Amino acid sequence: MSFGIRCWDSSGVMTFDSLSAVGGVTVDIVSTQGSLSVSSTVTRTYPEHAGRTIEVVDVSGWNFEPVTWSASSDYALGHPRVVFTLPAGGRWFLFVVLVK
Amino acid sequence: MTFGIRFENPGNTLVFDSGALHYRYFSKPSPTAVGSISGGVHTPYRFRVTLPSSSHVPMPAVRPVNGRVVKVRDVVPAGGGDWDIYVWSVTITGSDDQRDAVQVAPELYVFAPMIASSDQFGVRLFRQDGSVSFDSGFKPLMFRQTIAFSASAGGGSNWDTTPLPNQPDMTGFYQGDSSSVPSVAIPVILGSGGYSEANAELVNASEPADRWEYGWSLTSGGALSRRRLWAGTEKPSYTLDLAQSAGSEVAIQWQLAACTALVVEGSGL
Repeated sequence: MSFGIRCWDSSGVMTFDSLSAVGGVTVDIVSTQGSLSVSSTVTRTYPEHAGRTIEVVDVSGWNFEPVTWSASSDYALGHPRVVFTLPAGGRWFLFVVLVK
Repeated sequence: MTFGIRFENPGNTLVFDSGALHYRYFSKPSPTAVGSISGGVHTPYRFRVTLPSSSHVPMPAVRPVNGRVVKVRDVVPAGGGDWDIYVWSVTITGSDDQRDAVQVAPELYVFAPMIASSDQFGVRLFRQDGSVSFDSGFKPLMFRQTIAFSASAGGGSNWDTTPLPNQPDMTGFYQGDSSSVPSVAIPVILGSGGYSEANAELVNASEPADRWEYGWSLTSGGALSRRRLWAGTEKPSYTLDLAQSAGSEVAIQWQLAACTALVVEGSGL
């Protein structure tokens, strides 16, 4: 390793290597329940990450019910913003937001 | 940024930020309820995990295995620091029709937010509010690879004269797709495999017939694959359609959402 950072735990196991990490870092995890009766939205902004791109990964966004959700990201504010649109039905959603 | 440290990899991708939500490996729990398939209804495996704080949210990941389809279906808070994680996990049958699949226990890996470890040396970083964001005494959740799966849609030309649902192999349904070979020894996948709804067009009527979830598997060549997993029949009226469909043509259409698989090294966890 000629540059970067690595960490080891007390037993000598490497726990972090900046050269092996890809995909960005987790800046938010959105665990939210949709409304029972109407569709709803959840908006998150990340002003501390102006100039970077974001990606939303759904961990359990799909289910037995034929529900549709969306996660729309934009940078109109000068920093990342995500608007989650959740269907009615009251089910739980779990999303991970990554900044790259 | 006015506080803390950040690292980028050589591709200028952010790989570390002391202000971020760093996660750590938490546990590989055993199921508290075993899944089953009965009467065409899938009941998922249930895992209960208890996190150190009621404000913590778990991140579940599953290990894909050749010959199986596995998928995190639901992550639901159960009060306090308890969370219930529901996982579908079935064998891929010879007919590749997971209606008659057999449930098989999945390997679930749970990650939780960083806290302070008991290690007496190493690196510990804090956010501006004083909370611990990273501690080298834990195994941090580190994404080793991202694999993108495109949205797909199709059907219409996949006519089949065999009445549903008795087709031994529903070739009209999208079987799934595969992408890169994971770059780690034991791939563990974060991310949903997507969802597909199939429409069977019967006697000039279009009725949603079957729903398919897509979960993770590995091909025999080791590529990550998302494969269909039968989730259920849409409507009781489907039965009525069946009565009319003997010998008639059935058109199947499906659509499948794009998704991203985050690959984590499971070796050593």
